Amino acid sequence: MRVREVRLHDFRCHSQLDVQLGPAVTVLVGSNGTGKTSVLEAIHLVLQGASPRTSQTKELISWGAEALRVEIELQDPEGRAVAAAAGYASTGERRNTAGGAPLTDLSRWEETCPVRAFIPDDVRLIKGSPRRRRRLLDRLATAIDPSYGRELAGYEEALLQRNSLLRKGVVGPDHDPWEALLARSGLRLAAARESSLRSLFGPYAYMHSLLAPAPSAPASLLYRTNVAALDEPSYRERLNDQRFADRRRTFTNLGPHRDDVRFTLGGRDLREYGSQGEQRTALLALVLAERSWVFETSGREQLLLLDDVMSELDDGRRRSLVALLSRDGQVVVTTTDLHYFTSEELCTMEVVELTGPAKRSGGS
Amino acid sequence: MRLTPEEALPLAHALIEAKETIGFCERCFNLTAETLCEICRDMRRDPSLVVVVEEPADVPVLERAHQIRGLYHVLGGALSPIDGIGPDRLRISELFQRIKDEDIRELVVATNPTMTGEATALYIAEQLQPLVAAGKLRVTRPAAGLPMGSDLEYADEVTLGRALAARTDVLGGYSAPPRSSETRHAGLQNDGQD
Ligand SMILES: [Zn+2]
Repeated sequence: MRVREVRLHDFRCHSQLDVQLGPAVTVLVGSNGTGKTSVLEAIHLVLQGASPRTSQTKELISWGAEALRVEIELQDPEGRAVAAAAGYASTGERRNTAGGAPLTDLSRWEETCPVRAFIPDDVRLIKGSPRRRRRLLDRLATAIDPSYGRELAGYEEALLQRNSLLRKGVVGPDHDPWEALLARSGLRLAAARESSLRSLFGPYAYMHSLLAPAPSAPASLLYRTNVAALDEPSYRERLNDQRFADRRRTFTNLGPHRDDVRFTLGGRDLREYGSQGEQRTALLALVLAERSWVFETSGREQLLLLDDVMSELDDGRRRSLVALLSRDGQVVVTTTDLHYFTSEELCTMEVVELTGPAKRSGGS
Repeated sequence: MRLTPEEALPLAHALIEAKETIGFCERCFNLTAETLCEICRDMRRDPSLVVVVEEPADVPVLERAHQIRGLYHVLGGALSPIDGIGPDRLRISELFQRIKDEDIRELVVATNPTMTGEATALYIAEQLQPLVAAGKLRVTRPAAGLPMGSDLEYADEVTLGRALAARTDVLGGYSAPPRSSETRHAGLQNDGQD
């Protein structure tokens, strides 16, 4: 599905703003403080349930207003209009709708109109908790094998059951069946994650080479798991051996629930030793690689929201990026300066100029 | 169900009476008003084949599949440490006692195709592994094909019948338990302490 129009009401600095998006690339141009990024946030809020910048949804409500509202008009592949909307009140009340009807499960949008955002200040995927990187692994593995989700849910249930025994202080044969299930399921998860990440590696290295300032050391994505060298019997034996240690820490240490992904540049771990610029380049390369990978694997398009990516690139890299953006689905990109684009490029794009807060702005 | 007061009263009495007299079969823990349930009393049944289920409600479901004419054993649930259900809360020791006392050649563990049902089947199979290794007993499970994560109750009888006909050894698809954890026949003690 494609997004045709976004309407913001009392959202950050916009009391009212309508933006029409083009079928391919839409450029939101405006000087600092005109609320370009807010438009990306608003789209993300409706279709993903949260802003990519903050978990405090209250911050998004305009000063003095009691509630915000965002309406999105989508178009399905058959050309039919679908309305998506979200309202958040300062009381904490929230309401999502699809075609006017209440919607409690936003996975519907993830399935029909997946959205990914790149916000330069947010490199949490690389620097933050491994949970985000495991979610990346799960997304990739699910795209390759739809039954992966069931395997993961089964694994997580067995893990909760074993952890429950640990918390109760039980270390005896009650563990046996859960450890058997963990070993079987854990190895399947690790194998699926490893192979899906391996298949993303090519696109990632390619995107990175296009975006990183030359000369750049080779970029790599590494799958880290503590079950790498194990087969089922040795996995079970290890779990069995660790019962007492696990009981002391009250959780299971061995298994893919502890997995991580390491981003490296010439063998250097970017999480600990990367500069902010290197982390941003790696993240942008990842977002673009996943998008192109998803399109190649499943034919599904992702709506990409890119905040201020042009300013940090040199001219050659801008051309490479724009060429990448014009395929595999819709893109919204913000910029302070239209000169980052060539006039030929702008001909193929929708340009929306934001002049400042509280003013209406439309499509070109 | 709509009833006139004349109809409702005898029904109410019948329900009260049923509640007072219905108990568990002493052998298989199916519901019955007698000491032994109808199935256990049926001499045409094959006593060497025992189907292990979670709940009494699973018995009529399996009966409808017309695949197995053996006896049953109702565990009264499935292993779930989160809910405080360990082996001692189920009728597992009673099952192991039956295996000692009766001439059972095959145990079909038809617990639900859920994680808790699967864990219960594995637990029983591993505890009985010495008997299996000695060739005295088979422990099987209905073949895959039942909707995973659902209750047995929701399976249609054709699917269920096929799964029962194509049952496989429970431990066939699993690695053996580690040596350090000794499997004990009827070993039900909860090692709460070190
Ligand atoms: Zn009986």
